[in-house]
Amino acid sequence: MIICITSQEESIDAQADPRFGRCAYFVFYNTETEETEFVRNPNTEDAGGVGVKAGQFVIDKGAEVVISHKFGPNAENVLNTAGIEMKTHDGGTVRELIEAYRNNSL
Amino acid sequence: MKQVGIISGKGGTGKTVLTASLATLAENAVFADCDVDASDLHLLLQPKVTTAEDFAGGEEAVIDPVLCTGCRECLDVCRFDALSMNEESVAIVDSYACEGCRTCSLVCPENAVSMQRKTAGQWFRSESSYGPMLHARLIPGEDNSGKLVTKVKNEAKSLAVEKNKDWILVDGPPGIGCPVLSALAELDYVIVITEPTPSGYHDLNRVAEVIKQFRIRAGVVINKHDLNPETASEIEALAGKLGFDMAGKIPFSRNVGEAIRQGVPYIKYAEDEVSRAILSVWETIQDFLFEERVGADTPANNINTKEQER
Amino acid sequence: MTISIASGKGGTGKTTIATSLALAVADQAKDDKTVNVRLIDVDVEEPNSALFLNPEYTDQTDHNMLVPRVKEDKCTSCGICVKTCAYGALALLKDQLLVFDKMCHSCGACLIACPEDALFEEPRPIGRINRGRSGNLAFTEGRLNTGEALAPPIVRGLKDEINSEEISILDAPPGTSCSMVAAIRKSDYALLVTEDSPFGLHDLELAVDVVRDLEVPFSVFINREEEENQQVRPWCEQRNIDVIGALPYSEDVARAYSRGEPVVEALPEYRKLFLDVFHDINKRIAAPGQRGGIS
Repeated sequence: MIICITSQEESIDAQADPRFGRCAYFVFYNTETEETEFVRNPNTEDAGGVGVKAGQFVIDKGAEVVISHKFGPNAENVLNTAGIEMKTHDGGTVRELIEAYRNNSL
Repeated sequence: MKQVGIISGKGGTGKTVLTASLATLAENAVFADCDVDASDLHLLLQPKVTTAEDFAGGEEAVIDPVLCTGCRECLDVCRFDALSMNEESVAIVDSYACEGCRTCSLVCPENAVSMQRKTAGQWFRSESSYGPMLHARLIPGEDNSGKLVTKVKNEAKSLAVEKNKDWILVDGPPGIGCPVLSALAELDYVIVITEPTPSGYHDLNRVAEVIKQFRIRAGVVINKHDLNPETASEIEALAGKLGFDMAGKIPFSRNVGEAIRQGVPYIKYAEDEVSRAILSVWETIQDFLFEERVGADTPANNINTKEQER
Repeated sequence: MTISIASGKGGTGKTTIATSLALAVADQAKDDKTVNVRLIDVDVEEPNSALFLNPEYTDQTDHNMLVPRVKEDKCTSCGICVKTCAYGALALLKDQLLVFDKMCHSCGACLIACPEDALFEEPRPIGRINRGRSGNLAFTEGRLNTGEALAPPIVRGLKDEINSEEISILDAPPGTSCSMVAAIRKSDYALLVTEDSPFGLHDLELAVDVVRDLEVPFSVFINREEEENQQVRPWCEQRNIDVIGALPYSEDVARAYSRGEPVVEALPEYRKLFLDVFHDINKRIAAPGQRGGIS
């Protein structure tokens, strides 16, 4: 299964990015292979609709769970409709959040 | 850390005057001027700008005059009346009207249209004698004020977290549209300042509908309440009906104009009925916020916050 | 002839000036059947002119925006429309196309981009346009529904109703935002209302930049002008900007305002001041290209 975490930098030890739609990086973590892929968010500079665009982006990447601090109403709507689970957190590094997810402590 | 916003349905009700005075009262605070269309807080807080950065906006169509054959197809599809032909039968873009929808670039048979990103404004990090301040200036006619409001608020929040601040004061934009929605997000308390006039009453009603969507606790301040005591009491009744707190009533005084002309927050300018009323607003909303804190299910956090304050 | 009453910030008295100007002109032209004067409240987020005019409404219509809908049988879920939309108003989930109505700018790009002709448009109400009369003055206003983010479409809708044969006085949105620009764009003249304070001056400066850029001829009206320590007049003189009217600071005016009474009705002695402003604007519009205006 693929889980997605929003990150401020391109590193597993980077702080998670609290933003979803305008996050700097999406981190896609495959729970089976334990591989991570970092993808720069292509929409950060867009004037509007970034929540929907980010939702579409992670859906297309096949994520089933998305972890971020806060989801806007539009992002929430897209992810909900697509049946993607949203988990929120109050800070931490990407590595810590992956651990927390694996331990069911999010 | 608590985020308190000050908004007004309509402009000119004394929002910036109140915010500037509250800024002098809030200890260990960051100020965010989110009235990005007509930001005036800096005229009273007189901050020194430490950093200024450009803020990217949406895209706009740019037409290559060499490639354009004047076929007018783009003019036919543009729904924003943003395209016209110049004397040389070349299509030109009215930057004010273009909303960057790309429709013209889709239909142009000559590929003469490219989309280029506009600079929508600038945002600033500044230092005032009362604390750090974030503010911005939008290029007139840019439609990204909601995004710029979010930018100013996010920068204020990161600074507040980094410097361990207790308060963020948000000077909000007028109206009920997109910038207000962005300003209201994440607030712990919102003060709505209004006047005892038919417009003041009417706009309180409209802005209340927006506040309700965010489920933020709100308090009403009636500025110049003694100019029309009858409408003032109608507003007070309306506040009760809306489930809003009455956060204060400020009397009319011509000294307020003088304080603005001298560029000082009122509370630093005079000690009179007006400044006492403003002080009471600040104490009242702290009571409301604290009351809410006691009611909340995180008593441990309250103790921490209290200790930090000491 | 279209005259926009605008201001760089809210609360400068823009609505006070717009309503009084319109009432004074309508009253003066009441015996001339060839002249119709209309106030159009384009401040669709906070439309307050009606509070002063108490118009009798004659008709109301929804103002609609077109939003895309999908013909399920034709859609192949190719996702081209989603990539085309500049506003993130579309999303594709497996084989379901989602439309986020409130983000849609109604540009029509998705319809043009769709290779299967699988999209069509449907009207969606975002506000109301109300029409009526207040005595001799015709009246139109737009009201944006609360929770809607986009004001410019309804501003454009109101402007489409402008009849160039009429004298239209527009109460424009405050500030220098996109809706203010949409309102005053292509007006014959703009009157910038400012108050005599550092706030007023700061925001007037921004408004002047906009009207200059839009190439709309303009002059300034000072509201609540102070006797001493004047801010606006010296600034305008330095820049060769004409001040064509001023209301002195007056508690009588403030009280009339707080009771919801137009200045020219509560205090008829000001009627001449507003008519003078109108005739001045009229001359200025007529002078360069001899177009529009009543004599």
